[in-house]
Formats: sequence, structure tokens, C-alpha cells
Amino acid sequence: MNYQVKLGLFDYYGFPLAYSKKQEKQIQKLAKKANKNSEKIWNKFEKKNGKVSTITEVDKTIKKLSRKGIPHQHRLTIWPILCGSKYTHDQNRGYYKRILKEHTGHLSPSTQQIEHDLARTFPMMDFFKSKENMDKLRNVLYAYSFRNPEIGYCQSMNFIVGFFLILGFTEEETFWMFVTIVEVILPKKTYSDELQDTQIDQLSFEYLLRSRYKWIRNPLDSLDEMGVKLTVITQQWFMCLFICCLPTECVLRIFDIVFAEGYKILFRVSLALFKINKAQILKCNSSPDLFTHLKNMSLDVIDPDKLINTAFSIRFLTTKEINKHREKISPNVKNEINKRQIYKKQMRKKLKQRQKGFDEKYNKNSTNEKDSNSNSNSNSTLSSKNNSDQGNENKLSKKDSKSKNELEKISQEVENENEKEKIQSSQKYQEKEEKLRKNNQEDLEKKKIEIEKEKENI
Amino acid sequence: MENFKICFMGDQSVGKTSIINRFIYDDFNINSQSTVGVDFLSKTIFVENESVRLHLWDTAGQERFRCLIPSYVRNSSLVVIVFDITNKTSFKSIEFWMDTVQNERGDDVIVFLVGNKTDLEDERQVSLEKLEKEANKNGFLYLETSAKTGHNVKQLFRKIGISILKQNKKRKELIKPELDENTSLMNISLNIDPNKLKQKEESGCC
Repeated sequence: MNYQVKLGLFDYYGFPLAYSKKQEKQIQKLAKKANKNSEKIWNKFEKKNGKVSTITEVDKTIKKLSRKGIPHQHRLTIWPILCGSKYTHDQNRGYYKRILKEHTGHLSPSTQQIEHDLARTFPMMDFFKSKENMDKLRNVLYAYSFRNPEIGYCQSMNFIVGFFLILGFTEEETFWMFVTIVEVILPKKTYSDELQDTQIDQLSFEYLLRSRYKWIRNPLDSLDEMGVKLTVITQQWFMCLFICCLPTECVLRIFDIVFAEGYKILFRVSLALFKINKAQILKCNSSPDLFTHLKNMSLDVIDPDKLINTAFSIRFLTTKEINKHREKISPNVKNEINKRQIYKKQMRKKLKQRQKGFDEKYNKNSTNEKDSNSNSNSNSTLSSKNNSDQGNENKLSKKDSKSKNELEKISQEVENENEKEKIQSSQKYQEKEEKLRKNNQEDLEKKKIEIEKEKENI
Repeated sequence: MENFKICFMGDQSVGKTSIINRFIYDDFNINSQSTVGVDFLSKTIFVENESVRLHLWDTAGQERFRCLIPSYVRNSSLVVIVFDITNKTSFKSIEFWMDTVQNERGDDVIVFLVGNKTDLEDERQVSLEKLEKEANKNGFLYLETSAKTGHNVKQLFRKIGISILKQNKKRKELIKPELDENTSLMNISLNIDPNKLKQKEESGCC
């Protein structure tokens, strides 16, 4: 992440500062002013204490107020109520500790990946330099990977969990808020299955952007020519929910609204970012310049009110419209993902065959050098490997026997296409060679004739 | 000035971002933030009296982000596959990365194998010989670096610059029209100047 931090400076919330301290003070003043008016209502809401179980139950006044920003001292209590995580937390008391206890010492690919990333979550902050806090982060991420092994762990989850912990939520609160974000607020496959829903979201956002703002088409086309897709920039926004992409105050404001209204606000804010930066985007001369500007423009947004207001000044942006785009795009994305899965399968087969080759060689060597006992040992390890592989395949087949048929169909098509391409390319190559040969022969003959003429003349 | 795209790939936390940061900012953090999706940085370098602008694509290492990588490989003129010399599995998965590259580009692209973290010599699990074998088997370039100490990082990018320029020149030669090449070859082999031939023909006619 290109978080160009001004060294040693931290904002009000303890996150590394992306702009000057003066600006930070101004922002805090504004935030406090705005909060004074709404404080009474938020106090009332707090006293309701967890009656809200889903986002749809949040009433309209609360929704309106959340757009103006929740006073920070109330966020710790209001966020869990607002998003409904407090409700699920109350209903599942003891679940978090149980799931951690049941899986103590349990190792999986996701736990390994989590270990890789622990020290790389907000590394410049003192908060995660203490073991206690690091353990909290580890526990929450582990617990989620145990709860939902299909999703497991995905890079960018560490930033969301870390963000909540730094703000002062307890481990359990963080866990349940994270659960509601992944399982309720965001689309189902945002973090799993080759990031299917992230890809769909990115592409539908680009579609939306192009249809809303005509001026963006030329710059985006120039990026396309460079071989860069807009998804590179927006992916991080959607996966991290703007954490690390926007200044902290803006991120908090966005979370206020996400918890009250759902994730479509992400589309609004992304659109607003482009709208705010219109003049600067159009100024960029070269596509690399344009790209770096797009990549960094979110960090330059200092005034959170301006961002939120422009986000809501975009008219007639409904979930229906977003869903329409999503439905249009999803078959394409799914197709590509299927193709990739087939490709992965083929790769695994290849690698297995290579390994078998190695093992056979090894076996031959071992029979020459060692006793027959060692040979039988290595064979048994081989067979156990095969068994485990078969087990995996069985699991797969149980899960999606329907999709398997589709996969096979698609794989056949892909193979056919590949063969066609190969044949065509080989034909073209042959034709080229023949042309070259003909040209050469003709030239040779011409020159021979010329030489003979010369000789005659002499 | 010509622009070239370079794609960095490799497993999680092998040091892709660190190598790039060392090259561009000459700076190192023991823990750099994990990359989500793809990052982009660029820098101009001078190689063999030519200035070359390198666009560096830094990709996320986690497996589920790999679905996004092919589109970057498709447009890059050089691919750097990084592994961690203190981590065997990261070396093993080179094979997987190679296949994604070859699947996209065939043998059309230059590949650089880089073993990072030479500063952790005590924990080494992959020897230089193994890297050499793996690279020679496939005709790849290879180097061992340390983003922490800066060892070999400048050299890595100089080599990248040189090999890219070489490839670029080759490409330009290939693009030249075929007939010109043929005639020039013929002239060399027969040692005859076409202009002289014409003059003699004319004189003969007279």
C-alpha cells in the first residue's frame, strides 16, 4: 500500500497522519461542532441497547443522523448496535471463546497466511508492537478462519480487524462486527472463490462510472491502452472498506453510514472521489501520471463533509441500478473464474505427474542402493498421498456436482479453442515459411540470370 | 524515452514490495504493509547511455489474488519472480508462477528469478546452486538480493534494464520488412553491388 506517511505524526485516533497537523485540528473542530446537535438522539439510541437485529430495522432519523457523523465518543457503543452485531453477540454468548478453545493448536493454510500478515498490519503504529494487541489481532482472525473455513483468511481482512482493535473495541466485539461485515453487509463471495463478488463489484462500478460521467471515458480508455484496468485502483477501496485509502476521519464517517444503510455507500463514495477530482484527472497528460494520480487521489481528500455531501448529491443511485449492472456482469466473471478453476486443476495434475516422475526415479535409485523395506515405505507414502487426493476430489464432487458438469463442458470448449489456435498458428507459420522460400528461390534465379548475362557480356 | 512494464510476482511476504521500495526510495522497513490487490510505482534509470522508464507492478502474494495477475503479465516486457531463500515452499511455488507466465506469454517474455533475504544467511533453506539449476533449466536470469541491506538490488535493476533494451532491439530488427533482409543477405553472399550490375547491363545494351 502506498501510504506515504509523514513520519512520526499521528492523527486524533492514533493512525499515521496523511496530511499536516493543522488540517487535522481543523477537521476535529468541525467534527465536534457537527456532533453537538445530534448527541441527545444518539444517547437515546444507546439506551435502546441492542434491539436492532438487522440494518433494515434502523429507523429513518437514525439513518439521516448517521450521514452527519456519529460523535466519536459514542461510536464504541453505537456501531455494534447499529450494524446488528450486538444482537448476534448476545445470542451467541461464549461462542468466540469456545471456537478458539476447540481449535487450539489447529494449523491450516489460512493460519499460516495470517501469521505472515500479523506484523504487516499497520506496521508503523505502536499499537501492534505490544504482544497483547498482536494476540488480539491473531485471535480474531484465527477465530473467523475457524468459523468459516471456506472464506478462511484474505489479505485486507487484517486491516479491517486491526482498525476496529485500534479504535478500542474489545476482541469479541471486533469479532462479531467483522462477522456481520463479511457475512451480512458485503456480498457473499467478496473474499472467497477467487474474489468473485469483488470482481463483479469492480466491473459494475466501472460501468456505472462510465455511464454517469462522460468525461471519464477518454482517460479510462487511455488507461486501457496502457493495459491497466480501473479495478486496480478500486479493488483496495472495496476490499478494505477504504481503510488505509482515505484519511481516518473519512473512513469513520463511511463506516457510520455503512452500518446504518448497507454497503452501496461504497459505490457512492467511489463515484464522489472521481467527481471531486475531475479537474485534476483531466489535467493529467500521460497515462502513467493519470494512474498515479488516481491511485493517490483518495488520500488527498481532507474534508470528510465535502466527500459525504458529494456522495449523497449523486442522484437516483439506487440498489436496483447497482444490482442491474451486477447481474449483467456476473455471468462473464463467473465464466472466467470457471476457466481459471479448470486451469488450476490442470496445473495440479501436471505438478502431480511431475512429482510422480520424481518419485519413480527416486524409487529406482532406492532399489539399487537400499533394501526392499525402504522401497515399500516410499510406496506406502505415495499411496497415502493418492488417498488424500481422492478424498479431496470426493468432497469437491459432493459440493457441486452440477457445476462440475458445466466445468467439464467449458473445459472441452477451452481445449478445442486452444487446439484450433495451435493449428491456425502452425498453418500461418508454414505459409510464411513457404513464402520466404519462394521469395528466396525467385531472387536466386533472378540473380543467376543476371550473372549469366554478365558473363555473356564479358 | 521508452517505457517498459515489469511485473513482480511471488508468494506472500517474500519481499516484493521491499525490493521495490529499496530501489525507488532506498529505504527499508522490516514490516512493510501487506499489498492488497496491485500497486504501481515507476522510476527512470540510465543504462548504456539510454534512459529507460520502468513501470513496476507490485502484486499481492496471496493465492486468491492470483486470478488478477494474468492481465498484468500479458502486458509486461519482463517478469520478476521473487522467492524467500529462508522459505522452501516459496521456492517450490516458483513452478506455479512460471506456469502462469508461460500460459499467458509462452516463452515470449524475459523472466528473472530473484532469491531475497540474503541477510538471513543462517536461516537459508535454498542454496544458490538450486536457484542456478532452476534458472538454467528454463533459460531464466537469476540473482540473489537483500532488500534489507540493499545487496544486489541496484544490480538487479541494471540487469533488468540491459536485458529489456536488448530484447527491444531484437524486436525492432524483426519488425523490418522481410524482402529487404533477403536482398541484403544475397548481396553479402554474392559480393555484388546492384548499382554496378545495372551500369554494366546498360553499357552492354549500348
